[in-house]
Amino acid sequence: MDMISQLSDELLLTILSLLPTTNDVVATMVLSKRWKFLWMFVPKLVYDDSYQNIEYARFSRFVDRSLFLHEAPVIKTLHFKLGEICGAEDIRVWIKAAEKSLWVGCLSSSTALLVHLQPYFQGACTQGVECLSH
Amino acid sequence: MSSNMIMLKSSDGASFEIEEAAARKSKIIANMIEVECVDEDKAIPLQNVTGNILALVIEYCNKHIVDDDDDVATEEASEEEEEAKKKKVDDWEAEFMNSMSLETMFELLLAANYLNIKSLIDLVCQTIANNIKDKTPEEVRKIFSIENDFTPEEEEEIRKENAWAFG
Repeated sequence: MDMISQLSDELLLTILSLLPTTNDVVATMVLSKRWKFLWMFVPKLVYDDSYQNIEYARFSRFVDRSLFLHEAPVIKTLHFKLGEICGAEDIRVWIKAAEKSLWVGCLSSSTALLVHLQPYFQGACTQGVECLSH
Repeated sequence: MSSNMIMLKSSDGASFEIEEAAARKSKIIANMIEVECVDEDKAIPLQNVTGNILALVIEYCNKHIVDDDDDVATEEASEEEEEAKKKKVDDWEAEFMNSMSLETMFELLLAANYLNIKSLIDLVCQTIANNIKDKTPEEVRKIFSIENDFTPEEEEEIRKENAWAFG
């Protein structure tokens, strides 16, 4: 087997955590059987739609599916970088979907929840974020 | 105290002298020193690390112990100075990682992991991650010689089932 695939899961997850976005992470599932499920255990999720270079429907489907399939017991970072078009309801649902793993992260270590939005949009989204700080 | 020297011995029998302060970058070695199982006249045997890799580990530790000393000495350094220093370290690290083959890089990662040197693990992992980002799966397989053990049908099915993840 090649050298990278022989690394422990722990080291491979460290490497995957250092990729800039979750898109890069998820794409590794197709490399080989060794990689098929690894992406699901990466404790960092970064969703970047700030350039709006794909249609929003596809972006939101990507977040839906990857959050649903994600298996990591702890999420250390959940980061949304969103553009002008983004559904307030979507963000609430996404944060809710990740909430349990985020809570575990809050209790055990430093967990970051970051939502970068267009300024005029912030009011609509804070509700979802606040449910975490209670 | 930082002038205390200790000896490390690689799996292939090469001996290296290193400042205790630099060696303490390794949590494993730091623990050995804490519990006083380091005999001054005796080298610490590192059974999982060969001489050529241990030399790289020591080069890294020596470089970073100097930086840590600087931190203490120049606590009131200006922001520009801090930035210049950080850039110098970043440049050194980039050059250091550039100088080695992929194979050496993986051996260095395993050694850093065994010796528990967190910052070196992160540095090597980041370098590997930089080789994965913005690449197609085909390119990543080629760079790391990953054998695709899916049948064409299996791969097709994964891509179809996970169409949301590709393209």
